[in-house]
Amino acid sequence: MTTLMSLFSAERIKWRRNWATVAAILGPASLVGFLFLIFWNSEIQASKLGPGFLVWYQVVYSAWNLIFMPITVALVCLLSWGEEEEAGAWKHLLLQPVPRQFHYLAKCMSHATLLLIAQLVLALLVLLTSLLISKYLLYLDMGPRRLWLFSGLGATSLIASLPLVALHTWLATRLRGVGSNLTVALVGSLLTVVLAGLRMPVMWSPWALAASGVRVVFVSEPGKVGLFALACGLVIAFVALGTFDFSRREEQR
Amino acid sequence: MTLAIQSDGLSRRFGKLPAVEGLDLRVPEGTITAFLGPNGAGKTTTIRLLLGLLKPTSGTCEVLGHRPGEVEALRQLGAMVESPSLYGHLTGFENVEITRLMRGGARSETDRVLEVVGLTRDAHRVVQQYSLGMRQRLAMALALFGSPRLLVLDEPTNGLDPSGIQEIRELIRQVPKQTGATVFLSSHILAEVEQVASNLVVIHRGVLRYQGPTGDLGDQGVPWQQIRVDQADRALAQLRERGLEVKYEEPYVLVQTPDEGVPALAALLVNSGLALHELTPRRVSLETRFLALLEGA
Repeated sequence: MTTLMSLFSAERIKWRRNWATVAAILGPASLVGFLFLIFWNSEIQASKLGPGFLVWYQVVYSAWNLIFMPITVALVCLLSWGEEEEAGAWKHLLLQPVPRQFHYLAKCMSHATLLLIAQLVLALLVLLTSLLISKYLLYLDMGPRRLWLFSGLGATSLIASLPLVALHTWLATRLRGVGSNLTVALVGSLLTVVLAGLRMPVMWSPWALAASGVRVVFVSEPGKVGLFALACGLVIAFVALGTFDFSRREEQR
Repeated sequence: MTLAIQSDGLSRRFGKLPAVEGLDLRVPEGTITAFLGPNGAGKTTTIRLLLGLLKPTSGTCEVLGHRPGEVEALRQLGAMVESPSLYGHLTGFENVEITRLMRGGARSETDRVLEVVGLTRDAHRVVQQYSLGMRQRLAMALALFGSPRLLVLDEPTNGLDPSGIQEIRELIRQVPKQTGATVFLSSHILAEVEQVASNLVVIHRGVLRYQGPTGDLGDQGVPWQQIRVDQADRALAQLRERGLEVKYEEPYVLVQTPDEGVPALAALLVNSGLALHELTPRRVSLETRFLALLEGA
């Protein structure tokens, strides 16, 4: 455990001045900024759909879970492994007196923490913008902002993002280039949208799980337990697969 | 003699292509051993096999008494393979700190290795701003972290200017003196190798061609002495009369005689009335001996 925490500390040093950290912050910031501009400049009569705060939370978290989060996860993982590849830092990493599985697990922890940062940035921006909306866009009828609902959305989004982190941490060691990694993220999201509501295996995918993050907040307790169990199962499966693949391969890249 | 590296029949193929075949390496501890071979000879493949970055197709290998890639072996070795493995967006200090966290060790060790390679003043600059020489020195600092028993360096002077090469050479020369570590060094620059390495390993087309002391490579028995005199014809005749093996390579008369026979040789020439301008042992450069070895292969 000490070794793993030391490796994680080493990973935290790598966050400084690097693009993976920038992606983790810019991903949620660009989404909230984009949606806020649309709200600000439109005459959406959200109050007809429901309380303004609810619409705002649902719109942001739906877009985040379905599209922006998979893209952000793919970018964070790709950029993080990319810096190891750049200038051959791989070799130095693999020559340290640490079992290779620990390197991989430390990377998983690093990516999950960066996603936690992204979720916190998102939550902070959603709260700030909801204050602006309630003050200036009176027609949205913000009503009382229910923190339990907001924290529920954040928590399910975080849990739903973990299988994606586990999957992309592994995929980024196998697929080269931004294009292929983003394609996987987008195809996963699109399939989820196209096949929504169907009882097909793809609906058990990490993307579908992420997409259902918002819906689950409003359903009964078993739905939440199901999301949590499925997320745990997928995380364990992808981490185990990635660790096995990473440790048995010869020199990486 | 304790061996830092020992391999028996070490082989590695990539598909059907053999990169290294049946290497029986013996690298004594505490030496600077140069690993030589032309491009594509299998040097980097061998180094990767020794470090556990590649697995052998057949054969066995031990590094400091352990299998390559074992945590215990990695704990006792420092390595620099090909280009420096550095995070460009971090400072030199941060790069060493990452190594410290992975290897374990006191914070003072970070300062020590930065001082050893002369980077204390530039430690807090981002590596992207470093010159190539500074990057090589930082990579050396990472390899030297924790005073390893074995230092494996693959082309450590690649791309450096003469002063950079000299700095790295001095660093390499100091390592065994200060820590008793073994240095296994692959290089293309034979003149450099000749100055620092006490032992050589030469491979060609993946096959071991020579291993042993540097001076013994291409040993041709009795050494040659080169003489420059005012009358070369007379000198040649005099020396032949004495039954010595001689030949003429303008402007030198070459005589095959042991170094101990040089005073007698000088006396003979002077007593014969010849004006002796020069009498020096003819040293065949490592490059010449290395090329001769490859030609013979």
